[in-house]
Amino acid sequence: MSLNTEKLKFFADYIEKNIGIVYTDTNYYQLEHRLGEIATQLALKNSDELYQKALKDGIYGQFSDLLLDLATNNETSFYRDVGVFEAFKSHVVPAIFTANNQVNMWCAASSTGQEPYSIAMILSELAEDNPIYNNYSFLISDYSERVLNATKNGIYSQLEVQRGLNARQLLKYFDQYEDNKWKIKDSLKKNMTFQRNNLLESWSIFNKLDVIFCRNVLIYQDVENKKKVVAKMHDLLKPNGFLILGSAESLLGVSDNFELVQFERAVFYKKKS
Amino acid sequence: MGLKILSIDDSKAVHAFLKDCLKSMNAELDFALNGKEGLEKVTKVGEGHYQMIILDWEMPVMTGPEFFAEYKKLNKKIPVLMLTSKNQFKDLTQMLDAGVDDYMMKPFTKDIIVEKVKTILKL
Repeated sequence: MSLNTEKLKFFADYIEKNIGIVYTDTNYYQLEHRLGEIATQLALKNSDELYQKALKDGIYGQFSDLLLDLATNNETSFYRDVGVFEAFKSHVVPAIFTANNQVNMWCAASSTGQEPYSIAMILSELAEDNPIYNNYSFLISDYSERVLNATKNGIYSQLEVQRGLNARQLLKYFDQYEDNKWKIKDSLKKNMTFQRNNLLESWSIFNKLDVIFCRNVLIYQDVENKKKVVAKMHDLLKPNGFLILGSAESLLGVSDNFELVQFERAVFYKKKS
Repeated sequence: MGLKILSIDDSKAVHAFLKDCLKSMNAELDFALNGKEGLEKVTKVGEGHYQMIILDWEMPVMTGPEFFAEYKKLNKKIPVLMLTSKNQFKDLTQMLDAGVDDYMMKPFTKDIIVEKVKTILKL
């Protein structure tokens, strides 16, 4: 049984109010699918019963956690948009590591961890020739406790490790795990701290940062929320610090306080000094 | 001119799946049902005929590793992507040490094979 638009809007409004992710007519089918999954997990027959429950009891506890968790889009892979990682390795890393004794980075929406671990692999490889590339702190956060835990555990399926990694990288940075899975080596986590974080609420981040990765997250927010989040990120960045967004994202109409930096296959934003 | 890829696998279903996956890359797939057939095809053609070889591990008559050992003697520079259901650490290490370019575990999806081909061929 499919929900009508009014009922979908009811849930969409709740999601937008709490975590700023916007669902509209064009992606209501995704929301409906996710509501079906939640209904199943709460032992309800269908999403209409879920709606009735929300009206009767309100949305809180496990229901709220599930709704807000599944509403976040966790699609990711290792070295997703490889041009971004090439630009980071070739241009950003040398600049920030020579300018600072300790580099501070933040991955603002880690999803299941492939992005921060890709970054850690790059730095680990560079550190083999120059130990300065070990001198960094890396804050990893996501709204979803489920995916944040997945990132902490660093366990991936056969399909997941084949997306974006070649065999040499797999052997170098992973150990075999049970059930045909692979586990990221602990050495890649040594500079990481993990924190659950809602971008729309206050952040417990006190160090000034050299790089913020916030890729393919803000696209789900409306313009006002984008402006607020980017303004806060701007404040957290050191002068000339980098903000790295998704390939299809832009700060046009969101912030004038960054300079666009074009690399071969990527565009980054640098805080104006 | 499109890509020409040689698929060496004893499963016609795998050939059909690869052909379908690589259609979007304008790739033409030639196929051989075991390492010996694959070796015959590779030996016959000139440099530049095949841009890539996708090689299965377990095959009758001549396995993937056996093919690769003979193929190396030909001194051809066609990159080889090893395809296998094995995911043991020692097997991966063995094949990489032998010189295959990359390794793909079954099951795989279309996006994975397309990405692997693009990466290996630097497309």
